[in-house]
Amino acid sequence: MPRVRASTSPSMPTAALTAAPTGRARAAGSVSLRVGAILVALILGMALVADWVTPYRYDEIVTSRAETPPTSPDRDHWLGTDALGRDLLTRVVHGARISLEVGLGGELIAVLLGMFMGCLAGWRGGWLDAACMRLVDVVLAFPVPLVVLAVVAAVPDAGSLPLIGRLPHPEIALISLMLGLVGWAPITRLVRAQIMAARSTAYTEAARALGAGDLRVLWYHLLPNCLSPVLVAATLGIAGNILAEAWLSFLGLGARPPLPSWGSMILQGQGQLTLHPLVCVVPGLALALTVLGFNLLGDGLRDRLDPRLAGITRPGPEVS
Amino acid sequence: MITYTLRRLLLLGPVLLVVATVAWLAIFILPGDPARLLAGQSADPEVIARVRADWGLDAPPWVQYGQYLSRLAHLDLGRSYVDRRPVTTILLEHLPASLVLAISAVTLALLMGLVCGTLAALHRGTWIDATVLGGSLLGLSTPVFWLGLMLVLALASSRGLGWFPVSGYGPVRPPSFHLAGLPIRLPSPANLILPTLTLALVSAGSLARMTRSAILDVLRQDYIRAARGRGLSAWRVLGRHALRNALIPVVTFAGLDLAALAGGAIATESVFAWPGLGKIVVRAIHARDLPLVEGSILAMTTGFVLVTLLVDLSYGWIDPRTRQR
Repeated sequence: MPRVRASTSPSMPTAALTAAPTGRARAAGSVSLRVGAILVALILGMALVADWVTPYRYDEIVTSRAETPPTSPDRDHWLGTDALGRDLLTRVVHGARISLEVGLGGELIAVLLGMFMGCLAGWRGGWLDAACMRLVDVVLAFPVPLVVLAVVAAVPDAGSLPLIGRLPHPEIALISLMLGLVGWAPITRLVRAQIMAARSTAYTEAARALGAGDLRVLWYHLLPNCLSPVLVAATLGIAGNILAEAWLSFLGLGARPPLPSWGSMILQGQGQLTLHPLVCVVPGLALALTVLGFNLLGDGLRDRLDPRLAGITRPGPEVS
Repeated sequence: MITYTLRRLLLLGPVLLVVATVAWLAIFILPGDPARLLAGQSADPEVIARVRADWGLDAPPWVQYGQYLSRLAHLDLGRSYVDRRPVTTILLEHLPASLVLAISAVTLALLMGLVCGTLAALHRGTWIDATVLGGSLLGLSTPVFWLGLMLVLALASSRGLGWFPVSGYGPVRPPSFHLAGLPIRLPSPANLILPTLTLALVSAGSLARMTRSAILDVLRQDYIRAARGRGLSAWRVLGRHALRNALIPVVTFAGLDLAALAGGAIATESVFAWPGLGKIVVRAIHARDLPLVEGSILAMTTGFVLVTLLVDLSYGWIDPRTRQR
């Protein structure tokens, strides 16, 4: 006869085996939401006021002839200068612009494409749905970092491309476009699932019965359902995009000099890591805090908007 | 199970064909002229024409594509523009270093992820849980190449503790052993530690989170309560019932995370001057060595697709229910 007894193993708390969601987990969610929002707000602010933080331009050589850069921090240059004698603080602050450009730009493309495809698949159904979902499978099967490398290898000079070449930073625009074109697939899945769930609800039926057309039902009744999961996915996607750009720039395949991308600044600082660690440490810290901010914000938003999903990470297109 | 495996293996062909075609097209539509690149900027038109004929670059596109595919079928990836050796030879030389790094990093990441994730799930809501969740979020947010450099600064450089070599593969030694005719030269253990740690720390974060939520999900199930009710010890319930079921989402996630691992490995090899495929592909892109770029990306994608397939097939081993499909 099996003995009925409580656990005799002292080191394992039995409470965990019958765990229900605790209030503390909810509280942790709101903490991450707050910390994430503060970090993201700081980075956005930094990008907005980048021109007025220091009296220098990011590509201006500020050391005198007597000094050999990189120089250590002093009164005029709080973080010192980089290997070419440019003010490090100025470059780090301006780096926020590049990161946000790729993060937000790439994700905007991904969200627009993803929502369009998701609506098409979820609303129309049938062969269109099947075709969209196969396409999603194919896109998800590709190893994103390798695809990005292949494109960068194939387009050595983004400035020579039509349209993209006319933008202020063609190589950054090309990276954003690429990340958008590979990042839409998870969003399509999310939107499609939400649309299919909402399609057969009573309020959709009611709207149709009142004579609302396809577009009206989609816009006013179905799309609002998708907004919160898409918002969460997009926030986490921004973090992934920022990491991807920094990764490419660190490999010397992203931003061109003198553009102050945090990734290329770390690459340039690598040579003087021991003698002048600040040149490497500061851009990396800025990068990690920015990505952490978006990750925390995404996690917090998910806990706030959909407690069922708490603690589940999205396998996204992060590359590093 | 056998038909499932066969069907998956049959799918491999078209996927590789698509990848090969995309790689070829991407290189083919390039604005530059490979013959001019090969002959040098100041070469005479006659020299360029001869180079073009020598390398088969004067044939119409579809003929070149056909030649490319038939060469691929014979595992011939062409010759490198830069050091003029067969691409396959170069790749095989650098493959072992990448394999060693990938295997050691994945092992360490799985170990850390599973242990930390399980601990966090069992101690939900305590400081252990908070530490694991916080640590994993930090791991997710830290760029792998920067983490590597910071580890070098703290543990390897003369400014830090100076315990490990800063970079490289260790002293040149004769091959440790041969695997299918391929000489495998193992790195010095001291050289392997930092790259492995760098690459593992980043993946371990997401693995720990995934393990935690998978175990929490499983622990809510009725069969866990039933097992507890039958009087099984907590460790037995955890090992036989909870962990095994929690492994399926974790393995799925680890499979999806492979792409991130590939990207991380390229950056890690770059930081530590590790003589693997990642270093080769970056160097080839910078040198515009197109056959080598094409070949290395194709090789890495093939590896990626093969491992994804293995991950898929491992479901049958972990969960007998999936074998019936």
